[in-house]
Amino acid sequence: MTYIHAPVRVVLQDRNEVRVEIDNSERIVPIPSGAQGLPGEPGFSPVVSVEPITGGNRVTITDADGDTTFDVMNGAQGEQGEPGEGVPTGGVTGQVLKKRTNTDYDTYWANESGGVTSVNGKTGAVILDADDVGALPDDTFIPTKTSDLTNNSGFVDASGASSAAPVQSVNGQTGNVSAVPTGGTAGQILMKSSATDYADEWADISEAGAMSKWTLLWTNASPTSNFAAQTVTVADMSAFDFIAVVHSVTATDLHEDTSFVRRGHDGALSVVAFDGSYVTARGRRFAYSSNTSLAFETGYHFDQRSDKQGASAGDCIPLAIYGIKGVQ
Amino acid sequence: MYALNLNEDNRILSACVVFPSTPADLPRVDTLPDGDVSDYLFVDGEYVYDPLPSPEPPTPEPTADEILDALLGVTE
Repeated sequence: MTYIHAPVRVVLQDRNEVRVEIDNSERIVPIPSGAQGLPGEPGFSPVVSVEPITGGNRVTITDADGDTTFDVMNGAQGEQGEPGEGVPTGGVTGQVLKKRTNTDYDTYWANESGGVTSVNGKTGAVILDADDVGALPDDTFIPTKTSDLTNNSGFVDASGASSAAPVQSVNGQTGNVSAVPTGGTAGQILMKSSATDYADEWADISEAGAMSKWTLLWTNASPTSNFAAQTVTVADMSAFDFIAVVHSVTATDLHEDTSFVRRGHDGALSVVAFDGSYVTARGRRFAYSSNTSLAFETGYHFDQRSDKQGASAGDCIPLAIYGIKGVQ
Repeated sequence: MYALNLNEDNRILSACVVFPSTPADLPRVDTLPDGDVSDYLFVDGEYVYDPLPSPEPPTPEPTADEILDALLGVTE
């Protein structure tokens, strides 16, 4: 047996151990686990029920000890609230409520203005009929096409059946008159048959003579100026059959001659003169460089009398260029 | 209204009457200069007279006496 004369201090460390202190010493002592306890009584979950009663509700709580009941009564009526937003005060008989702004309840009383006060002298719930406004009756027929109308003015209609405005004659002819003579064959043209007015007949183009059309494409605005080698741009020549170039002898001798070439071919302008003893020749070549241009070279000349020859910008000056089509 | 055909030096090569089909890139003028248009340049819308140099005058034809002297070897 051991006796302890010093105070002992036991401190619970946690659920599993305690610390025992004596003076300056201490020990940690584990706490042995206890034996398994007895099974507990079955649990009971409380039940709360609410039952309406006069002036409130009755609350009942049922637990293992039985029912516990108490009443919860409704509160007393509160004080009357502030007046709500309604129509504004004031106003006089006949006025209507109008909005002052888009803000809710921002309204005011105002006299009724605008609107219809009467219709055709009638007020209140007005119902008009055709007589009130001078309208046509409902069964009035409105024509939508000329055939709905009666041709009592003698206009010529599709059948030609009119006696009031017939064509009396055409070029002095009456009956079934044609503007062109009857007959003819494909490709023929209308040709004057005499000098008499309206005298015409169908004829072949060859009988009608030249039907070609000449179109002026270019004109030299300074025919007395020298004409150096150059390319002349003209209108599109692709639609023509022939190209004609009118030219002078020289820039100072404006006697003319014309050179014709088939469209697309190169050509030459030339003049040859003979004075009884000697020959003088002048010329200028040109190329069909494109459908819109002719490229002229410089002119040249030969004088037999002086045995001189050479190039000169003053020879065979182009004066005009024509396109010709319709050549048969 | 006339259209001018110019070379790269702005010398007038020719002048033509304007047709609807005349190329739009040719300069247009209302009047032409006096004389030979090829004696002028067209610069900044103005005519500048600048004639080409005249060709060399032809060599004078020898006279019959000169030809005869030449044949005979006669020198003065």
